[in-house]
Amino acid sequence: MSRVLTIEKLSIDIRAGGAGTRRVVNDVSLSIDSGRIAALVGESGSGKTLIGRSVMRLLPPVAALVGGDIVFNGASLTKLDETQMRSLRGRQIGAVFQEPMVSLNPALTIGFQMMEAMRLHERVSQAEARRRCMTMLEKVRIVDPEEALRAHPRQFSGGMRQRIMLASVLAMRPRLLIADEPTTALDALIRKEIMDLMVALTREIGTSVLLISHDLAMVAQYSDDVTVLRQGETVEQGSPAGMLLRPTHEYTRALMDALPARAPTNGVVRAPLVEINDLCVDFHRKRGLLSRRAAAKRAVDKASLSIFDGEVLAVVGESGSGKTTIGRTLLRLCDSSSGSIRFDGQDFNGMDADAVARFRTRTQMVFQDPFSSLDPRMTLGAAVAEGLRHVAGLEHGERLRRAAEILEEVGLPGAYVERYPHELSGGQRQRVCIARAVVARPRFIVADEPVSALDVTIQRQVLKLLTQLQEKYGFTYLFISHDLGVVEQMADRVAVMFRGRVLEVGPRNTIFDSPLHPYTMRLLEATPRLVRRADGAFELHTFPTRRQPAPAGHGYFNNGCIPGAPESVGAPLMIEVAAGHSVCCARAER
Amino acid sequence: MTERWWQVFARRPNAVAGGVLIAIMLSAALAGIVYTPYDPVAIDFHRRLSAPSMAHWLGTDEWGRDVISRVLSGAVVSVGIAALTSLIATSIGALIGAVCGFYGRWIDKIVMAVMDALLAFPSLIMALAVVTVFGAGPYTPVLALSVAYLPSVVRVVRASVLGLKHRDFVDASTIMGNSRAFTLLRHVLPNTLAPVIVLATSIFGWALLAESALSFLGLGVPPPAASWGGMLADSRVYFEDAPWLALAPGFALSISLLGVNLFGDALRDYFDPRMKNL
Repeated sequence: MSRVLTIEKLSIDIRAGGAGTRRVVNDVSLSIDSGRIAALVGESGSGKTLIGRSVMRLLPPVAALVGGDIVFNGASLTKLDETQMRSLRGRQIGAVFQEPMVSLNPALTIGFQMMEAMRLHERVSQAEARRRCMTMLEKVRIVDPEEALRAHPRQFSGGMRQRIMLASVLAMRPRLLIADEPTTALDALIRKEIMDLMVALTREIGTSVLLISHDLAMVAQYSDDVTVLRQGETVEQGSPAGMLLRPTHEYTRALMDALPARAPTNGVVRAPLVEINDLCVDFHRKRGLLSRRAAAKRAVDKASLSIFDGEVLAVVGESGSGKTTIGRTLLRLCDSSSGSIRFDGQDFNGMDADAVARFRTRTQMVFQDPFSSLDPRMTLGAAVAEGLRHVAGLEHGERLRRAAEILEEVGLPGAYVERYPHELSGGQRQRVCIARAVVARPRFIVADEPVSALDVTIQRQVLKLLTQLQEKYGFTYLFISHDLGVVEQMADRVAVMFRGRVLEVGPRNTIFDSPLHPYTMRLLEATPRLVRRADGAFELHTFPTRRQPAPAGHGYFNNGCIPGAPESVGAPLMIEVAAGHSVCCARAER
Repeated sequence: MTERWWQVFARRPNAVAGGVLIAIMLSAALAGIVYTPYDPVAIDFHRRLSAPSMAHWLGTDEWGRDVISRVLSGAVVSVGIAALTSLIATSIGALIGAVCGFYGRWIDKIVMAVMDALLAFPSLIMALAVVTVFGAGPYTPVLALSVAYLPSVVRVVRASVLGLKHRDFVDASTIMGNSRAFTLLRHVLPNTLAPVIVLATSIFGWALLAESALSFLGLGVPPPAASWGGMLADSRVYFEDAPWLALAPGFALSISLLGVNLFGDALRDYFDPRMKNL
């Protein structure tokens, strides 16, 4: 086994504003043997991305390599001139980045972009390049490679684009692949698919991988060696089995402890606060100029759910599963097409203007995107105080006082009242949104992906805040998320959705430990989790539990959520298999 | 500490230059109201077409009227009409545009059809038509030009409201129990302020020019009241003998337009977030 890459005592400085420099990578050493996957993990700001870029010699202009050496295939990269470096990039060292939406040029066809590098580095004929690209696209399971070569990036989803990126980089058969958070922007199922493809393909070609990630579970599952970084310094190096599963170093242990873990649920069964029955929500596409008929898209399809007082019900699913639409419909931001919703015993359809006004004082929402949910022209104090506008008998001054109070409670004390949203970070803005949501003490809060736009470290703090506030004020949460790790930490009960259908509902432990519906299992399999054992060591759970047969006379309902199996013909039917645990089935065909 | 807007402006040469020129224009208009050396409409046949002198700094016109007094009092008319036009067109236009963008449906369709029809006329021809119908007078140009510039304001505001209404803070306002109208006035409209302010300065400039054009054609403020466009029109016959008749109002007009345009550019730079870090 030969050594592909050695990084020796690498140091990188960043020119800080004005005078002086800041050391962002300090004395980091690591090496990768051929065919191995080495991971760099650390929180944001740990310098892991800069190390990856320095191997490509693509550091941003403010950063400079000030010490150490990078040896690739026996040659020192720091001594190469730009021309020699260019001949290495793409051909010998490939890279895949986090944002599949921006790493392909939208103006050029896939084929042009894939063949460009190939024809640049190797004098191959057009036909030969084309043939190789098609083989690669087939390997990443693009359905019609011929067609894909002629298509433009916009015609593909994020996951497809990332597969195409992977294909075009690996088509050059590089010795080393730098994968910088390659799946962070993607849904769980697609994430697993991409990672599996990447591992299989690099193994086949014999490419080594430098995997840069913040996701400890993913690193534990896929990598051979791990380097943990903290603020530019190496904390620990070793095998994932030894180091991550039995953490000894203080910092690694702190990282592992911060992983989402199940909090005990409050097992108290209370009355339902929200009851949803056979809810359907249709979106009407804009009518064309000539056709009078509106095209409708069903976003929620006969969903039935109850949300109990004081609990956290999590709705999980991929993007497009209708989970956000359910949340919006519950807050009367969307109209339902059929079915009924009852809030605290009162039917949505029977509400008059007064009842709606009262409903508004008792419900709230926390949005996903903290950059769009605050009015940019209002101070934080005014924004939060507005939440009290409809509370009877409150003076303006009293509202501002309470706003300041709640801002302090979410960790934004004193002068923050006078600040404007653009002065805050994403995490701080999300705290303001939470303050605004809770200031009038609502009973029911819809939290729509409240942490998915945030950095992992910040995520943890915001989740903790949500839990604290719930314990203090007794809110009921509808928690919408695609991140099963977060759901496992937050939820009392979980509902799994796919294409507008609720496929399985049950208590959190049941859904995570003994799921029934194959789609739930697929989701769980796609989300590797590190779970603490009784002896303090960790275990990598990549599932699956055994597939369980559907209740007698039925098959699991399939609307495309179980690939490879025929879709159900009959009407779907929620069958309660145990107390509170229901799964969506269809009558078996004779 | 973030910089205040005037500190940002003080560092931009075009903002400073524009500001100074606008200040000159405004003080001329102010002088036109409170004090002019002579009565701008007083006729003195003994001093017809006299060249600039100590008594008449910018000379006199064919009726013996003092030119500098007429430029100053013309400033009141020109600047006043431009300011009123800009104010009326932007405020009414912003309201119409906001309602169209926010409520949509049939009201949007009808109003936008009307606006498109208005937009199809060149604004000056449009103003000519209005003046012809309503007759010349001090307020007809304001009405004419406001109608002519209304559609561009409506379009700009409607477009930015369409973008804003799907932002989460609009939903957040609904969830707090606020009415649609409150949400529109409190959250949506203030966020369209930046483009509207920039547009308002542009309209001020266009209106200044258009008012002069109307007066030049004899459709502006009726004589003998002074206006820059009217003075320019009258000066044509005497240009070879008395060039100051054309130069004085022409220069006043140029300075004002230059000032307004420079300042408008500075405002655009200030409000456009992409320019912020330059």
